[in-house]
Amino acid sequence: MARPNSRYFAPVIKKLLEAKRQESIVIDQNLKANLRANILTKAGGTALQTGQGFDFGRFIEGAIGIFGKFRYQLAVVPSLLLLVIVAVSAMRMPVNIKSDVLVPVVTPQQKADNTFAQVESVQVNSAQTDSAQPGLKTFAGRSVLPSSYFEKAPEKIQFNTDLLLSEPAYVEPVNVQAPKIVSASAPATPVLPAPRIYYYVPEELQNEEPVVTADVTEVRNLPQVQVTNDALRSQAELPNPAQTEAAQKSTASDYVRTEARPELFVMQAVPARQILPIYYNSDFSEDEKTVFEQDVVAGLVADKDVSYVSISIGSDRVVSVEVYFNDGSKELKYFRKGADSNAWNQVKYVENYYYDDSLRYEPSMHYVDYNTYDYPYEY
Amino acid sequence: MLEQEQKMVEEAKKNPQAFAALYDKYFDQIYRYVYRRCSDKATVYDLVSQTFYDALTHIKNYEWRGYSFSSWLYKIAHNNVLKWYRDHGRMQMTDLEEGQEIPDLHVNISKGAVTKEDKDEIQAVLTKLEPEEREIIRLKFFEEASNIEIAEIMGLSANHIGVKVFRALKKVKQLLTQ
Repeated sequence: MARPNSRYFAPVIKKLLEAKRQESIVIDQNLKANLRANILTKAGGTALQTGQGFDFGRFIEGAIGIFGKFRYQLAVVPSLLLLVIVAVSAMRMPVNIKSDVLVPVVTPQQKADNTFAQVESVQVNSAQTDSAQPGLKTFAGRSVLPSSYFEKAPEKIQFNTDLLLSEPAYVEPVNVQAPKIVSASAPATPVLPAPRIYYYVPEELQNEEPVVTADVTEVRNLPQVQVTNDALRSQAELPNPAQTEAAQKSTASDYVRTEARPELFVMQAVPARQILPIYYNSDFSEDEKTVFEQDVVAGLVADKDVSYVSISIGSDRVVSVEVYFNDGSKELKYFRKGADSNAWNQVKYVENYYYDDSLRYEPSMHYVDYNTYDYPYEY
Repeated sequence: MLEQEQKMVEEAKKNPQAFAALYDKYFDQIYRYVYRRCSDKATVYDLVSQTFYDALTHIKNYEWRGYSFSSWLYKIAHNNVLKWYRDHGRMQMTDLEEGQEIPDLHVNISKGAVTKEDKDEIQAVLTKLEPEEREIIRLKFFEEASNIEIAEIMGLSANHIGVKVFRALKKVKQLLTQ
């Protein structure tokens, strides 16, 4: 490429420069002097105005100039402010994001004192969330307990060995006062329905004499306790322990219903039995609950290390029984009352597939009897 | 030379009356520059006076960048001329014949070096150029500005201006040989 000052462009440049020289632009010096005077006068007046008072126009102009000069630096300020607001909001967020993760809230001491302080990751709604511990979604049952409950050490109960051979293994109904509230300042959290207490006697011990029982004086500290098993009630009225023993053998288990929360020392006082909370989410009447526990729950918890049982009723009057074990596992079974036999039968949830002429797929999900063989579409 | 000019600028920033020295030094250049682009004398005086007035009122914002103060004045004049043409909706005209009636006392004219046919030829060629190319030719060979100064006036890079000067010269050469 030829340079503009090379010989290639020399004729062109020469003509251009000659054309410039040919120009005869006349400048009127008088006009030039007058213009200078006018400009300086005008500019001097402006400068004088600037020095005498506040020129809002120049102030705005200067402000715009400063903003334009530092516009990128100034843009950082709202961005940082927004980040700080988001960070502070996130730090103050009351809900634990990882709500599905188990939240251990029981100290080892509490764990030792209360074997029923199970922590679950169940889905609880906001009303069931412990308001005293925001962000923690724990098992709902412990939310109504005062903190002093966990600080309470189990009482050492003196066993009356004389009663072991003379008294039956069930707990005598004692007409005592209403359930004693341990703490005077009960929390204002909504009180959930109390679980039914199921006393389970292992099968191998049913034919034997009760090993140990609680002293009556200690049992008086129990909340309101009633014996609901009519057979046991009748046997309890008998003075002869031998007859009581026979009555006990005829029953699979004992049930004691209470309106209060399970007390730990009860289980320690009667080691041959297991206290089992049963949580109902159904419209069962008291009689229906009793029958259901006898027919269904007793068979499910026999010889198993069960923590508690949750019973709920679903569609088609199918009752789902969830048995939670102390090792963390869970067993779910469905039961439905027979149409004519009025007995509880185990059912299963199956899904059948049907194909019509156009090979259209139509699922059908329903409950069938548990022994129904529905191959190959058994769910 | 530039150091002295820088001192003048710094003095004008402090005292508006010191701007008179810069005015006297660059008035003729700016006047001719505007005159080549706008041949109406009244308009030329208006644009020139507006150019110097703008320079005086905004001289505090001027930053010395190592080249002549005239580049800044050219840039102001360039913008004022463009604004005037935009406001009046006129095409830029080039009339080298204007002003010949009054002899220029400051330009050494070597009479007879260029014939009237040559002037008409250059005039015709410049009118055939694109406005940007014509502006670059004027600044480069009539105002004798460097590529850096032209770049400052037109808002382009110096390398870009070099390429454009080459292309404009090539185009002028082609037009002259036709």
